Amino acid sequence: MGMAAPTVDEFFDTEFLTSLQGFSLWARRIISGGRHAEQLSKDKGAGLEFADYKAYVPGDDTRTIDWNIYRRLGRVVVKVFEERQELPVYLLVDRSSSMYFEDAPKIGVALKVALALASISLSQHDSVGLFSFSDNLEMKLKNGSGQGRLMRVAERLAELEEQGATELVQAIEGVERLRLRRGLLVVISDFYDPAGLDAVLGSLRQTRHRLLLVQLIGNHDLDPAGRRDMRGDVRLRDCESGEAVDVSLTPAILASYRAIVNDFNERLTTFATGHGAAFLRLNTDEDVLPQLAAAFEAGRIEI
Amino acid sequence: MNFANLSWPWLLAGAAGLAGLLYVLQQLRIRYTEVAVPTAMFWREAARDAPVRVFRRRFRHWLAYLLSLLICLLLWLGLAEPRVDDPEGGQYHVLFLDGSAHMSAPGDLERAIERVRDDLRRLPDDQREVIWGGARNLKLLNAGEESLLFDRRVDGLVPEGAPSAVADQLDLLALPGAYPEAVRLVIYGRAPVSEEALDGLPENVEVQRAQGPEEPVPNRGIVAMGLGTAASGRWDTVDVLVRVASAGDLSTLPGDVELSLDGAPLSGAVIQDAPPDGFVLRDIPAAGGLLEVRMSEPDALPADDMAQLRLPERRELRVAVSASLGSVLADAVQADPGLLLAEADPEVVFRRAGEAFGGDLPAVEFAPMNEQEAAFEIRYTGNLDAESALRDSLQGLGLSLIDGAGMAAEAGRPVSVQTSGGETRSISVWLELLDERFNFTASRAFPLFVTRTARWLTEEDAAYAYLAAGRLAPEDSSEFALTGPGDSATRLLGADLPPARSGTLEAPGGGLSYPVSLLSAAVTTGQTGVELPAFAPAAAGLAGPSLLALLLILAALALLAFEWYAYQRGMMP
Repeated sequence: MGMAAPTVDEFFDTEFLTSLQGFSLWARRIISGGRHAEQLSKDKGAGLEFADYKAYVPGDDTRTIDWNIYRRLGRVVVKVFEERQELPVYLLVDRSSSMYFEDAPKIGVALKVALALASISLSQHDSVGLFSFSDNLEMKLKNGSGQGRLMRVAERLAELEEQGATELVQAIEGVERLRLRRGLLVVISDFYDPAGLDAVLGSLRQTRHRLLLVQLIGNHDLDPAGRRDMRGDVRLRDCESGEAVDVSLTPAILASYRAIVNDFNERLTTFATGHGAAFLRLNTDEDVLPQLAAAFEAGRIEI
Repeated sequence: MNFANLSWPWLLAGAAGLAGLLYVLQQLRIRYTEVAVPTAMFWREAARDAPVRVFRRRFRHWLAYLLSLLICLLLWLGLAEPRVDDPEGGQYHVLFLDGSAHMSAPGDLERAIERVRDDLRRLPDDQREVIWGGARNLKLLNAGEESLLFDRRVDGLVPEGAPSAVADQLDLLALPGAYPEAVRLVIYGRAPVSEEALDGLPENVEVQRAQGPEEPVPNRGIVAMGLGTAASGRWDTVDVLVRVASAGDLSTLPGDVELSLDGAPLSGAVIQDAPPDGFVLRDIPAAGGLLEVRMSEPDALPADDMAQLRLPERRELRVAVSASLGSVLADAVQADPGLLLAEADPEVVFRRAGEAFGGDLPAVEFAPMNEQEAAFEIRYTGNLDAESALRDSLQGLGLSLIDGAGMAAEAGRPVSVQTSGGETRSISVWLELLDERFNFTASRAFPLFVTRTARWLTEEDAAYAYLAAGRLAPEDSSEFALTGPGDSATRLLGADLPPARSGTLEAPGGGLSYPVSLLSAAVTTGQTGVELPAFAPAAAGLAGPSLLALLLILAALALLAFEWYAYQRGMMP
């Protein structure tokens, strides 16, 4: 049933990481307070790209006074520049039992995606922090930047172990309670929280962070008729809670199931669209890189 | 529509049983397969609208049930081997498997059985029966019985040492009402059918032969064997006639046979030719021995290569004659070399009625005419009817030779023979017949009467010619008048029917055993009688059954494959 997470060597694929070099994550405007970096912040100040003029007030850097205007108009104005800062990226990786289910568990894809996003973020001088969750939230790595940090992220990811049930609502609320600097919260999960999608979406609405939702879903989740053991009368036991549901697998009930799954996916997509969140749905039974490439249209995702 | 392996009731019962069994299996299919999933939350929601089946309420898969039922029924039908209805046009078939000595050549019977087996597949069960034509005709398979029973019942059967009894079957077919309107007798084997037998059949009866005309098997065998009084006149010997016949290229010569008496080679016997195909053994001792004649070289038909004959036992009989009867009887006794006139220890006595002479010994008594109505009163033993007893008396005691009319004229009243049953044999004769005026004592019948009555009273029967399988008639010819009491012999042996097959007939209550030989010229010479039309089941019947059964089974397999496909694709539970 449950599978062990891949080791660092197994998923720290340099070829895979190299192929991500063209991708980037861009926030439209980030909250000021961070160190200088490449993300466009709301602050105007010390930067390289000219933004505007403003009247000089005592305390302004005299090096920014535009003396040409002063000569022509007799007014003292200073140049204002765009200030670029780092984007704090918080990777929240699901390590509940459902992520370790089946022969090709979703956790493998989850770790690859987490590493890929960490790699992209670090390459553009953003800081990356790592959280894992199941029925409790754990901070695996505080935010930090620099290319050297990628290996540490990989090591922490490799340390993740299967644990308990999906409690995404508590995890998001837990992140919120940490009062972290506003940044990008990347949720990598199958979103199968027993509390229901409504509760999950409710908690996501409450977060101060920008959101990138990465939904992992397998072929058998979409269409269970493909499984050899899904025939006739079956007792379906939840791999996390152990609760059983007796089902007679008729075409009607299979169709009903597919409709419910489609509705679940549709609602997740609609939420992301409506709240300015980025959304990636990755099929865990297919190669990750082509799916990522398709998601990073024109090489970037803008949040 | 008919079925080769099942009757309609069995087929329908099986189909109903399958339907019921499948229904119960569908009902009882409650064992859940446990499957772990990460998406139980979705399933719970889906199951809310489609609750799981529970016992007696969960039979919702009608299509799956019908598909399974269809597959099972197709297989069941295929195994039943359906046939296109009645290629023979409603004709009833009597399959006559010849099991007589005609079929004793190696392989003959096996081929016939195989052919019967083939034809059974082509004929409707309720329109055929199989008869085993051995020494007696026995029904092997009744109409409506499963063809599979034929194999079991024919197992172990071998050709019997008897001529064919096909004539009996033809007699039965000729009986009105014995069989359906249109009936066809199919003979599997060489059993000959005579022109007369065919002529006696009604129009609704056909007779055909399964195989085409077959060449007779090269064969040589003994076809007749009988005995008669020795031509030499010796009372203690007999002459034996043997006839040999052949079929094919084999010739017959006296030297082709070996003779033995009580198991020892019979040497020194005088053999004379008896054309065309026989020879006579002269002066064979009549001492109750077992004479065996055997062909020197065995051939294809062993059944007729040996014949046996129980020789009569002729011994000197001690006879006493009462002095009150005069000398005429004593003279007759002394003249017979087989009788010895003895005062002491006689076995038979001749006396006047009422005399104490001889006590309880068997006696021929002479009573005055006025005390006895019939000239000859004969008391016999056994279960003979009066008519048979009278016939035997007239012939066996020589009474048929007396001048009855002359004696009646002399006596002035009818001369008659009266027979009655009793515990011991006895003979009572008019005393007056010993007078010369009746001319009885001077007639040629008198010495014969004396000697035969003496021997009859001691229950020493006349010799019989032979016992042949399936018939009673003694061999008779103008040249050799073989004495053969025929049915008297079989009555002696306590049998009501002729001996069915070659072998040994045991006398009831122990005692002597009597050999029964085949002795059938028809078997030995391979007679086939008239040529019969060849039986050929309709071509449609030949190809139909197995092809249709194959198609049904293939259809079932195709549906099975479809069910598997549908199951794999999740289209059915």
